[in-house]
Amino acid sequence: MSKSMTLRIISQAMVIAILFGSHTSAVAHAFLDNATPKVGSVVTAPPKIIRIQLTQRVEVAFSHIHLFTAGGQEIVMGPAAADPSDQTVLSAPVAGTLAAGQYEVRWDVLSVDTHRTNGHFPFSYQP
Amino acid sequence: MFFLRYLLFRIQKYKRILASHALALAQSALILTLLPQSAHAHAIAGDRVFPATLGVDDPSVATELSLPGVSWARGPLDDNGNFPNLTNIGAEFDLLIAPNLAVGISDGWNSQTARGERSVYGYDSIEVSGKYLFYENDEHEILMSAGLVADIGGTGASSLGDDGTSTFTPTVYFGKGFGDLPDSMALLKPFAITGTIGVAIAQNRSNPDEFQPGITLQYSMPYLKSAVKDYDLPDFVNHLIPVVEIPLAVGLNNGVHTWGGTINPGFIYMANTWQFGIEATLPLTAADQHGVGVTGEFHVYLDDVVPAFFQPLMGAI
Repeated sequence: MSKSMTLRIISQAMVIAILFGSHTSAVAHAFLDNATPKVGSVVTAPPKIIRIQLTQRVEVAFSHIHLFTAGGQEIVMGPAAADPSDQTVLSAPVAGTLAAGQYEVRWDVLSVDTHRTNGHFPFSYQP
Repeated sequence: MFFLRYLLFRIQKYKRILASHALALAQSALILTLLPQSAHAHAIAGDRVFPATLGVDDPSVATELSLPGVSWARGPLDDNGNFPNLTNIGAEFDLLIAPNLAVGISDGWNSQTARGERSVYGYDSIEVSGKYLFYENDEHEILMSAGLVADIGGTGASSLGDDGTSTFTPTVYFGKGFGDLPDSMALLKPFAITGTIGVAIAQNRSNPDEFQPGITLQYSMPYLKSAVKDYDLPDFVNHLIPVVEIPLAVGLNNGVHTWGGTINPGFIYMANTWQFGIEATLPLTAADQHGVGVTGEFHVYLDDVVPAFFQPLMGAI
């Protein structure tokens, strides 16, 4: 194969790869994009709801948000629900009022293409 | 399709080689023709996503495509007093055949030029590999894999050193994230290390074997934002993973040990279905290269791009 032919094939393959990779697909693993309360933040009012936004749409029936105290005690939460207008947003209400302290949000989700991911992040409530 | 056509081209060109390495090549061709496949793209352990690193292979098993990987450096001083320009353009395709088992094939095209000298062009030997993920610990963000890389002799350009014999490299791969550090060390949690330990065993016993360790140190800005503290940094920054890779090679030649390698600082931009990495390459010895080189790679997680198409052939083994 001549050098020019090789470079031509490689350049064509590069274009294909870039088009392939930059395809703005609505699938793939769902990772945490942002959250309310913010990851690692200190809030001065007790959050009534925990909201997470993922990088991909998720299946709400197989996705969960849990809240724990720094000591590992689970806080009662309502069921997670997706934002009707944005399936990447998942939220769950906090039952009752949180006491001051450090908390950990644990989430696990199933993206619409069936990839399962999970994660956790801290926040603090200091009135 | 490019890769399949390319493989067929190489197979036709190297019919003689095909006969002598029929088993390995037939297995590769069979696997490629058995597309679709794949499932758990990315190297994930708990909150940690290990990126695909450029110089030291990561511990993940995934259906992924590195195309292209491009590197340039000036070689060591040659007999004519030149530091030749060395360029390599390569590609690698990996395919999950089970959620914890992947096979891969890679090759590269080389250019070696120097003023006043005849230029040399040619392909690397075709490399086939298998990798098995045997340990995953989400809490401590650990992945460990083991695999075998076979460099098939006779499939590359003899002018670039292919003497017709193969090299087999059993390798252990590992990755460890530091998300389990105490909260008092929160800003260190995004750090992770990955590495490989391999021994390249030459089929031609007159060629030296090589001990091939490699290690990377990386700091994940995506991890910082999603698991430690969201500093409202620009979105571009939140996708970056600064990394230093150190691939090494130690010759094991009847007690005479030579060694070399590079230190590769750079960064990886990690999107959801693809990533791009670029690194400088700094030689550790004058025999490795002259001055600073550069390497870059575009990498696609195929089972994230076309998940319905790339599913594993079988369950976990």
